[in-house]
Amino acid sequence: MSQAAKRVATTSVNWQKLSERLTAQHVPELQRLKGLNSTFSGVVNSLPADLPKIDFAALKQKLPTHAALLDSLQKQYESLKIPYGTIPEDYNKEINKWIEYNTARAKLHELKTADGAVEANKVEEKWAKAPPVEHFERQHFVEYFPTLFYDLRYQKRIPDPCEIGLNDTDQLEARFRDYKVLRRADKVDDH
Amino acid sequence: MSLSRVATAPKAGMRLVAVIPMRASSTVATTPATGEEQPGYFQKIALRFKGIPLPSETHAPKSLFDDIGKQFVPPEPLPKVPKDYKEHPERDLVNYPYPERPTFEPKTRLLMVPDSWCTPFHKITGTSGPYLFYGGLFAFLLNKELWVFEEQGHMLVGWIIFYLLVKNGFGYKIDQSLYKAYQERVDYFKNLIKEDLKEAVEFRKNSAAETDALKAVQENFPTIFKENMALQLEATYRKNVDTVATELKRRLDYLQETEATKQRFERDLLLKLISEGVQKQIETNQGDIKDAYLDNCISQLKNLSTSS
Repeated sequence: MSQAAKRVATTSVNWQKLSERLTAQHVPELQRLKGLNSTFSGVVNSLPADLPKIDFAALKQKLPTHAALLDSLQKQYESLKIPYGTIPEDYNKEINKWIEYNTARAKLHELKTADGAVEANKVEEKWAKAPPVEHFERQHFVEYFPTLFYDLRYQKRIPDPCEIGLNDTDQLEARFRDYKVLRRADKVDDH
Repeated sequence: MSLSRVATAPKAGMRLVAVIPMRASSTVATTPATGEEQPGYFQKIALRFKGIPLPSETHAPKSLFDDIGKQFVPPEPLPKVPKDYKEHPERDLVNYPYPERPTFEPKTRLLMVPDSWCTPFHKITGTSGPYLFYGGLFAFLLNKELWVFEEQGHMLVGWIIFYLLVKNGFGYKIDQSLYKAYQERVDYFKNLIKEDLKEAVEFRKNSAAETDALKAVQENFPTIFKENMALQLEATYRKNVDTVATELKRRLDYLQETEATKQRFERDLLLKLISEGVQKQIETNQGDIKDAYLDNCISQLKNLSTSS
């Protein structure tokens, strides 16, 4: 792997355009990634890319007494190879896993959108089919506002003048379905 | 009151005809009096009845009786139901048209008899037909005691007069407030419908935005991850490079610094040596240096004096 080909020093992502496209749900993640990117970019931009060139010949002329020391320093400096390193393969695999996760997330969102669109269509069709509110008949109020009106012709409702919610569940009806109240334990049938 | 003041002197043989001009509040002058003439007591009452402001007022005061006899007409008619509106595809609109709510109640004659029961008579009997028919029917029922006018029946007159007074006096205000309450109720339901539809539209908008966001994330985030890792690697490498360069610089600087210090020390030492030696020579007058110096000074002075 050659060092020059793989080296990255600038960002290729248009952060502004990306942030405009994302919704509020994704903003924290984007901010975190942007922070990391700017931190590393800051370090990269503030430091030089390669080792500086030192003129050892001039130094040797300037400091003839330390010629041997300068020689050895020069040898060490020129033979030094700082390894660039590679990104561990596991991290790239993590990226692939993330891509799978995001694909699944997008698919779930599509399913939710489809279901929601069906519901939204139902709602819009319902109100398109309805007559104007001023011309509602009695059965229309029950049909279009079921939480506000009821029809005793086909609904079994217990009188609830104080609106404590007796008709919200069928618990009472289920409890007293056959009109039998709770017998006390010591009640007998023979007398 | 004698009528002589209104009757002119009769001619001989003429019948006395009294001309009594009818004076009523409606024939009083409609314009208010000019600034100098104040209207009289009864004129003021008449002006008040008409709703005309007095000369000292800019507008007539608001009164309970402003709306007597007015008919309330709703400012907006009820919306029309489309002619082809069907609650169900199989609805027969010809025989069973949609029962629209009419804006006004059906017409009645004498507040009792519907107009649709009277108009069929017009072709046969003319316009007086319905009144005669229903009047005659009432008279027949009364006469034959098929409908008994019982002892409380006298109250009917009073009740009818009472109803007419209330209707004419307060009907306008009652209708106005009822209309307002009705509009509020209708607006309540319309708001519920609007919220439902708004939710549907908002849902579509938000889900489309989220779809686009997820697509952008899918396109860009892997690149960002890889770029971040590459930048981190590059940063680490540059830090290492910087460390090496710094260490070398430290060593070279050390060498240069020591060399400079050594040279400075040598120079200082040499200078000190030279200056001390010269001073000692001067003090001990080694080789008659003082005499030689003095002689040199005198000769220079002589040269100076000759040149000037």
